[in-house]
Order: sequence, then structure tokens, then C-alpha cells
Amino acid sequence: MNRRPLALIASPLLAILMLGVVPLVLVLVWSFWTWDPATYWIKPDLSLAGYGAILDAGRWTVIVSTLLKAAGTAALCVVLAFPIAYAVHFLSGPRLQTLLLALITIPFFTSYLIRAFSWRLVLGRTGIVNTTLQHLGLTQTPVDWLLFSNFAVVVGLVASYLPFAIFPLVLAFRRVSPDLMAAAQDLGAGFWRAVVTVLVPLTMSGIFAGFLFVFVMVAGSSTEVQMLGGAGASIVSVMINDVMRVANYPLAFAISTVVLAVIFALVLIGNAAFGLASLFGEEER
Amino acid sequence: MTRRPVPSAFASNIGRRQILKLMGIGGTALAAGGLGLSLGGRALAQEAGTVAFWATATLDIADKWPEFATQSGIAPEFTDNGNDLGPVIARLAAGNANDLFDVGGFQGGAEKELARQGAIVPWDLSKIPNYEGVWSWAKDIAYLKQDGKQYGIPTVINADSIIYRPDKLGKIDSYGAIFDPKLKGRVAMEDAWINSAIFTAMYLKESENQPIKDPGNLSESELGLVMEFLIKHKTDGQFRTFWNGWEQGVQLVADEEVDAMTGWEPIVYEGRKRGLQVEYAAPVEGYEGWGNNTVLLKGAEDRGTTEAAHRFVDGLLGGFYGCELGKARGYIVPTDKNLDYAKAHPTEYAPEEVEKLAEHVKAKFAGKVFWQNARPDNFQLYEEWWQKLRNA
Amino acid sequence: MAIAIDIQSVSRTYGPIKALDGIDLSIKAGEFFTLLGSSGCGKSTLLKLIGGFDRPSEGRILFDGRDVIDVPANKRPVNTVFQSLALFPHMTVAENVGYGLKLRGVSGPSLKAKVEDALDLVELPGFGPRTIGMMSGGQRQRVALARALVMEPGILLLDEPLTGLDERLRQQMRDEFGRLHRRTGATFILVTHNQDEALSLSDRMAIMHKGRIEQLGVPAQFFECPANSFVARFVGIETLLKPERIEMRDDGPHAIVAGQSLRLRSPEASLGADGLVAIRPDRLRISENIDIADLVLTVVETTFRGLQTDVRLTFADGQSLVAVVSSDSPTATVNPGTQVPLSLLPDAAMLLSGSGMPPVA
Repeated sequence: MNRRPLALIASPLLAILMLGVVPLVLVLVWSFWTWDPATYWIKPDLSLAGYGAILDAGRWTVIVSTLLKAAGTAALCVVLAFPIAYAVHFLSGPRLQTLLLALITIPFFTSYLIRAFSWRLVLGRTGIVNTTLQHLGLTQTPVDWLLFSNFAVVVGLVASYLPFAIFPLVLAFRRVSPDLMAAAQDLGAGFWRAVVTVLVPLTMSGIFAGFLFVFVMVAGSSTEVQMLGGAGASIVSVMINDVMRVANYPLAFAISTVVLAVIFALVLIGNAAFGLASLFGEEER
Repeated sequence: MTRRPVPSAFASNIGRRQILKLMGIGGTALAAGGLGLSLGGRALAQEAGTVAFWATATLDIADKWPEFATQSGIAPEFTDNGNDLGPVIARLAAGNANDLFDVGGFQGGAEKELARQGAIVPWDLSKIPNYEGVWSWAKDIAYLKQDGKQYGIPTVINADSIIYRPDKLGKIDSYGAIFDPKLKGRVAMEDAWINSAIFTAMYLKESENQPIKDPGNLSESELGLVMEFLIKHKTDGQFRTFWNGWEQGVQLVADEEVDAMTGWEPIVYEGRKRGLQVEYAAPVEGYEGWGNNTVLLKGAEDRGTTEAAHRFVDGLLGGFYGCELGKARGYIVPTDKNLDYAKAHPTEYAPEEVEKLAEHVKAKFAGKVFWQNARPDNFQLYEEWWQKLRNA
Repeated sequence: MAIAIDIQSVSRTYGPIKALDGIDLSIKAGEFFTLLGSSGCGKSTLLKLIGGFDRPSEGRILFDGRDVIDVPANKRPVNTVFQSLALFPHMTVAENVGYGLKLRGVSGPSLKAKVEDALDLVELPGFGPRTIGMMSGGQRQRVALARALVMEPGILLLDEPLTGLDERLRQQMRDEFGRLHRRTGATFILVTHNQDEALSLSDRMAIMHKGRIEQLGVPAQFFECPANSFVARFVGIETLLKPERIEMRDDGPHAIVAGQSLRLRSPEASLGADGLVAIRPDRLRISENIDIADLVLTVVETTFRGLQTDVRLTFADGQSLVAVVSSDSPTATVNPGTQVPLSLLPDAAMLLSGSGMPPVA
């Protein structure tokens, strides 16, 4: 056997193993251990207490609401990203395309802390939206639910993670020849019919990848909820932090394991259904 | 959830703490891994006359440490401990923190647990001559001594209450305002049981005569009482939000999102700087006192660096450090040595400013004070209740 | 069924680029019409305008006398076989072919029957359930044709449909087009850069260049009477000679090239400023007898091409022409430098004006 290729893949393989697999396995294993008040750490007494505690204090509702928030935000991001990717791919020349993609990338350059924070200034009682509404006479007093609400959280999440949906979609669109849309219209399909019957099925891998990226980002987010959510608003990351602070490591690991299991299931199901790998394949003919 | 540092000179600075919080799910694994990782500390402080100081960022005087070293003869190597006591205690008890660090600077309340674990050892006060100058009520903080031995040295002290807008609410002198239905949706508390539970308990104990012994260390039933009360108000829509960290606290006040909230005094200063009429209440129920105490880590004893550690802590109480911390962050080291130092060095630190700050804090502590407790006996139950509050 | 197309003063500009420059063209109902030209000549743009995928900057397009500029692609009685074929890769062959019918509301057994008929028509019976990925290049071509033809369009547009096929398939599909044209009776418009396709299939054709029509007519005209050197070259008349002068003789006009005289076809020919003499290679003969030869030229090289051999011959002034001889003739193996007598069949040489269009037949 030739040793060179083996050596070449050995280091990335090791990196994936060390950075990806090992921590995940540790989280999984430790979630079944028991917290030891004597050492403030965990000991290998196998227990399901961590998982049991998820059912207490409404913790499971946080997991459910996090997953719903993630799914909702991801769906919203995909719906918004689709026309953006369409415009980037079909409507713009190479130079405009680069410009648009650069504009889309800009959110990455500002800290997401600052981005989330600035929504407080926009949506707050004295923010731009409320002052405009009052100026237009649409409301007398500031609209309170704009900020510190699920609405504000979703706005913040969408604004933060929209690019994660756009890029896989742009990638997926690259594989769709404009002729296919023309062909559908040639055969009698109106624009929307062509989108639904041709464009959507052909970009499904990108739609799913975008959905998945946003889903995972939201499932791991906390800033938007903490800065924009109502009193004590929670999300899995916030809950894990709360739990870590009181050294309840098995519970923290159990929560992580449940969320990771959901994400893995989503990846596997989605990949079986939509073929993520095809995103990087050649153009459809 | 514990106190995050107010930025130096109150400069706006969204901090490292929040970055840590953002690590979320992956962060759990990372933080767990971090318990076993070396982060410098002792390795850097091997030479004689150095001390590895592992403390909350509040205690950091950054580029002034070299000057501190010149004055005290001890060069500290400062390492931020992240301020969350759970991981801090775990690293001391089960991790390698004692191999790395000599002196800890932690939020008050964990001394009992750390002493029980054998992670910290008592100070020898005879080797800290400046301890004598510490204000007597600061010496009396309950957490400092366990079994008659001195485990904690009070290093930074302050007392918190309510930030409010007198132009809208008139004068406020009770935490009752926070729970007043007339202010529904116009008040906030901190997203931290460590502060919000004690404020509520103080109010219930003092103004509603509820059977609560120590608001800083609630029993199971007391905790239930306090948290049910909070949950009721939360579900009634009483709170606009729970705030997290310095910038968010300031913004709530500055942009008129709330008219009153429990919080840190520097937010008042910042609000005034932005032209708002903001006051800090002197509630009839008293203040929530809090302190950052320095502890002697067992590792120092094992390595024979206790002499240097004592000289270091003596230096912290020597005046210069107190002047610098007061100037940079508005926090007070509870000793009159600050004023002595400022008088001797008036070009560096204005004595009248130092005196003003000292008198201000002393005045707060002249009244009723309940001490914040970073590690109440039922701390895991606190967290559980806090989750119930979140999900109510 | 078949639809006549009138294109009136149509221009299409993209910024500073004029893709179409004042096109006037009438295509008769049921005609097989070809737009021939090299890439960038505007032929595909014209096709897009007819298909409704683009709008002209100026001018009108009429189908059977009705202006269709504002009719979108999906409402036009036009179907297209795209150069890329544009088959839907996520659908089976039958779904591809049935796509347009379904949109028209055809369903159930009648949909199935029509799809099968269409597949029969392009000789792909029973291929319906296959995926596009399983089909060969030629089969995909037929699917694309079936998908368009099943719509029974009044106009069928074929955009370079044979590009990318090998020679054998190309020939086969070419025959198929002819057959389908006769069978459906629709107006066929073919866009191609391949003159063989154009010449063999078209009832009429137009050669386009830089957004304009250079010549329009039945295919034979392009050989017999190329409007200019561009057209001549495009239809395969490689030999273009620059004469010294034109002489009127009793038997008609003659061009004088390097002292030798070539009888010209056009009786009314007169030498324009850039007039060139085109020689049709199929009308040159190597003659047996040097005395009755029209020209005597020197062999430069011979190129074996299977059944035929190209013989390159040069005039004294260095201008050259190519004669095509049978590979078994003695001339096919003649040595360079040999003098060879040539005779010109009638209409072998014609004078080109260099620009402009001859009268349309």
C-alpha cells in the first residue's frame, strides 16, 4: 500500500477525531455519570439522573421551544434566502454577483453581539420603529411587543443567520441552468409554477443545507434570546450555562446529548432525503 | 449569572464573559475540557516574589500591575477565572487549578465549600499588617471565617439596590416598586438568581414580614416562597425583561425601556453621564452587600509560596491598589489606606475623590445590609427554581 | 396549425452592443427555416425573441398577423428544443414529456397515451419510466424533441440541437427533423452554425452576421449566388480570388487573374471596388487536354481525404484555389510543381459585390 496518501489524510482525520468525535463521545459518556459533591466534579456512577432532571422544572419545554424556534427561524431564513439566491444567480452579472455576495457577507464582519444589541435600539420603546409608527400616527404609545418578545428574538435570529441559508442556496442555484426555467416556461408554466416544479426540487439540497445550518446555529445560540427575549427568556444554550454554573455537569451533558441527537437525526434524515453531498456535485444537465 | 465586571472607566465593552456564554452546546464540552487544561498561571510565576493570582476580572488592574509589583515587591500574574463559581470550584477540587495558582479572588460565599474541600487554607493575619486598616464591618462579613479561621480577605466591597427615574416615579425607597402593579412592564431585574432572589427575599422579609431568616441563604421552603412570588409577578407581565451584563443594563435605563430596576450602581453613573435623571435608591429593606474576597489556595502552601501570597494580599490592602481600582472602576477596597495613599500621591489620585467614594460606600453600609452569597447551601435548587421562573 | 411569423424592423441592444440590427424577416407557415451564422451573430437572440424569452428594443413580431411582443413565453404557441436540451433532471422521461401537457390540464389515461405517442414518434417507445441520467446523448435529444412536439406547437424552435452529438447521430437526427417536420406540419425554425445542417434541412434559410441578415433565400441560391464573400465562405466556397480587372467579351464577362481569364457567370457583372471572384470547387475539372483548358495552374500540395483528394493549385501571382478530385484519379498523386490544366464548368466563377444582398427569389 502506498503510504503517502495515508499520511496525507491522517492529519485531517486526526483533527476531526480530536476536535469533533472525542468531545462528543465525552459529552455522551459523562451525561450518564453522577455529580460528586466531594470533588465538585463527576464520578463514573452510571445514572440516568441527568436525563431525569430534564423532565423537571420545565427544562424539556426549553428544549422543545428551542427546536421550534430553530425550525421556525430556519424555515423563515430559507424563504427569505431563496429569492435572494435567485436574484444573485439569475438576475445579476458576474460583477454585481460579487457585490451582492459581499453585501450578504457583511453581517459576518460585525460582532453578532453588537448586531443583536443594535436590534434593541431599533425595536425598543424609543427605537426607530416605534418613533416612526408614532410619527405616522399609527400608534399613540410605543408598541411594547416589538422588543423583549419572541418576535424580537426571531428578528434577531433571522438577521444573524440569514447568510447561512443564502450561501448553500447560491451554491445549489449554480447547478441549475437558466435554460431549465426557460424550458418550463416554454412548456407553459408561469413563473411561480416553474419555481415550484423545477427550481425548488432542483435546489432541495441547498434548501435543506441552508435550513440545517440555520437550525444548528439557532440551536446553539443564546445572545439573541438574552438580549431580545422577554423576562427570563430561555434557550438551550442559556439553560446549559445556568446548569454549568451550579456544577450540575451530568444534566448539562444530558441536555447537550438530547439536542445533538436531534441535530444528528435531522442531518441523517435530510441527507437521505435530499442528498447534501450533491451540493458539491457538477451541474445538473 | 454571577456579577460580571463593570468595564474599566465604564467604557462600553461587550465582554469576554458573553463570548463564553455564547459557546452554548459546544461550549459545554469545551468548558469541561478546560477544567483539565493548563492556562499558564503558576508556570509563569515560578520565580521568587511572584504570585499567580486567579480572580474575577473585577479585580484586574491590568497595566498597573507592574507598578503594584514595584511598590509591594510582589509581581502578580493575573489570570481571569471566568467568574462562574461552579467551574471554578470544580477546577480547584477536581482539576489542576491548585497546581497553577497561588491566590484566588472569588465572589463571597464559596469560602465554606472551598475550605471543606481543602482547596484553600487559612491566612495568617499576622503576616498581613495592612489587614488592621480594613473597616471593621468588612471584617465582619460572615463568609470570611470558617471554624474561627480566616479564609477570606475582603478585597472589593459594594452594596446594590435599585436604579430608578425620579422624574417619572418620584422618590423610591423600597423594593416594593419593583413589584408594584402600577409599574407593570416598566421594571426589570437581573437575569441572575444570585442577585434577584436575594432582593426579592429582602423585600418579603422586611416589608411583607415573611418568615425568611437569611435572604442570602434561603432554605428550601423560603426559596419556594421567594420564587413563587417572583414567578407570579413574571407571569403577570410585571418585568419588561431580565437584563444580562453591563451594556444591557445601561441600555435599559438609557433608552427608557424601564423606569426602575435592581442593579449595579455604576449603571446610575453611566445613565447620568448620558444626561438622564437617574437615582440609586436607599431602600428601607436595606442593600445587597457583595464582596470579592481573596483566598489562599492550597497549592501555594504545597509549593511554599505562602509568604509571597501574604505579601501580595498585604499589597492589595496597601492603598495604591484601592486608589487604582476606585479610579478605574469605582469599586472600593475597604480600607482607609486608600485615602492615605492618595494624600501622599495627590498628583496621581485626587484625595477628595477617594474620600468621597469611601464615604459613599460607608454610608450605605451604615444601614441594613444583606450579603450576597455566591454559593448558598441549596445552590442547585436555586438553579432549578430559576428554570421554573424562566419557563413560567 | 402552422403559424407564419413576421419580424418587422426588430432590433435588440444590450447596453452598447447591438445584438440585432433592424431585422426584417417573414417566415411562412409550415416552413423549415434556418438561421445560420457563427456565434454572436444574433441568431440565438432572434430565437429568444420569437420564443418570448426576451423583448426586442425596437420593432414588432407578429404571429399570423397578431403582435405577440406582450405575450409571455408560456402563453406563446411556440416550443423550443434548447441547445442544452434543458431536460428536467429530477423527472423521468415520461414526466419530462408530460410536463407541458399536465400544465394544460391533460391527465390520466389521455396524458399517458399522448406521452407514449410522442415517445413513439421520436422512436423511444417504452422509455418513459427511465430517468434522464440513464439516457444517452442521442436519446436525450429525442426526449427533448418529444417534449416540445407533444405540445403540438405552431412553431418549433430548434436551438443548435445537434451540437455535441457525434457525426453518425447528427446525421440520424437531421433525418429525424426532416421526417418530423413533414409529419407535424409545424413551422420549424432551426438555429445553427453548421451549413450542412442548414443546407440539407431548410426550405429557406438566412445567414446572419453582426446582428444583420446577410442573405436570405432557398439553400441552392447561397451557392449559386452568394451575396458576398462572407456568405460564400460560410457555405463552403473557400476560393475567393482578387482579379486584376474585368473584361467584357462576346461570351460574357471575364475576370483576369494573374494573366489568365476566367469566364464569369453573372452576365451583368461589373468590377466593384472590393469585388472578388468566387470559385465553386464542385465546378472545377482537371482537364485531359492542356489546349482546351481554361486555366493552367501549378500544384502546391495534395491532401488525401478518403474518397476525395484536395489539390491546391496556385496562380502566378500566388493566389490559390482548391480543386477536388477523386482519389483514384492520376491527379490525386501528382507531384507539387506540376502544371495542371483546368476547365471551368458553367457558373463555376462568379463575381461577388463584397456586400449587399442579391434579389430574393
